[in-house]
Amino acid sequence: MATTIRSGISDLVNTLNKVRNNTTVAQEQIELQKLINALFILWQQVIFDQMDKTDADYKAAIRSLNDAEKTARAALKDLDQVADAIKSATAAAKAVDKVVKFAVKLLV
Amino acid sequence: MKQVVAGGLVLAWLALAAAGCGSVSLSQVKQFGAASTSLSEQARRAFELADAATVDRNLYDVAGDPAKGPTDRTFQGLFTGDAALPGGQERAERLARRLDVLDQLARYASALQALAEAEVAGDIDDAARGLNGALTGLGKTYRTASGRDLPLGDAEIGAITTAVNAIGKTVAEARRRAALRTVIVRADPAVQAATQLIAGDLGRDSELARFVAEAIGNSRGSVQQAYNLERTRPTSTFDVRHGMLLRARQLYQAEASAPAFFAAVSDGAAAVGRAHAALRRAVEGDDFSSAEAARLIGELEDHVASVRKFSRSLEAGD
Repeated sequence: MATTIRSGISDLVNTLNKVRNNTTVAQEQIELQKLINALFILWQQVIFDQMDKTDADYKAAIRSLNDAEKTARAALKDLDQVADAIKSATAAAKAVDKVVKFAVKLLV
Repeated sequence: MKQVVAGGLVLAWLALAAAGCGSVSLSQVKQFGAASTSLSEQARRAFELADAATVDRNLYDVAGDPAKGPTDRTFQGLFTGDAALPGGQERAERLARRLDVLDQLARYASALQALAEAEVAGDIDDAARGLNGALTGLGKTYRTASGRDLPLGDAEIGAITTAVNAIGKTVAEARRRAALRTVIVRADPAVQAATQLIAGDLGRDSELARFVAEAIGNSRGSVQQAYNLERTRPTSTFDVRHGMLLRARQLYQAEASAPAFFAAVSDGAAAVGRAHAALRRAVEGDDFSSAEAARLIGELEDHVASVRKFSRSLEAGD
């Protein structure tokens, strides 16, 4: 379980990359990549930042990242669940963006 | 004539006595300089890899999806930053300063080696300039990179300059050793702080190591995505598909090697700090060939060899 936004993004990207690299459906890979791209942009922005861990939005983002990572792991076991992983990761990326306020334009 | 020879012998004996040991060797200082310079270059490569992996990921992303075209952002690396985003440029610059810290460390190690090897006054002058530039630069860049002051002020740099200048026009071994002692002792706190910064930034589980591994893994995903688009085309050929798979395999191997490369660089940076601390203890005891320093410099050289090995294995993914 991630305890920082950095590690949460890192874990989620790791699992989403594995899902993308193990599905053979190009369209699913393209959809996953849209999210992974947004997460990479967010990751690059926070990679050396110190953020307020007591902030409510920060805590919500951590929860959302952990939920998304769990859903992505389920999709890795059952590739029929890729759509659920995409939906959950989208919510997580939006929750992180609420904290770092950088990439919201990338998620629309 | 006999008096001149006798006088020369007395002077030589006095010089050796002042050095503290008649058979002292400077080889450890030279070995340390060479190994540290090499390791700093590899650590620089680790930072550059993080930048290159970011740009490569963007290139593979665009190339892997026929619906996408390149934009300015496609060519921006981790250190380039995104000036359009609040604070993006500052973050990128702070990160890039790590490279400068490494450059200064490498210059310091080279200058130390040059000082140990100098044979004429011109060599000493070059080494002195190198030391001064490296240590002054290290102080500035460390502060920018870490937000903290390096324990290396004007007093330390002044003492080092004075000691090196005191070697004189003809390189006298006793004065050379005295200068090396001053340089190593005075610079040691700065070397420890700088190597800790680098070792912490580049560990196996560091942010940069994870970022690079994921960026390479994502690049592979884009090749596989392009493969899956390609294989359904009526004009698709075996050779094209096979070529794409070979590229995906290269990236797969590079992705697996990245964490080990970062771990080796981080361990190596820590070894530079340990070896320099051992050199400090040695020269403080007037022992330029201590067993502890020899062991730790040997370990440092092993780290350099290990880092080179992993660096070569990553070249497949370039």
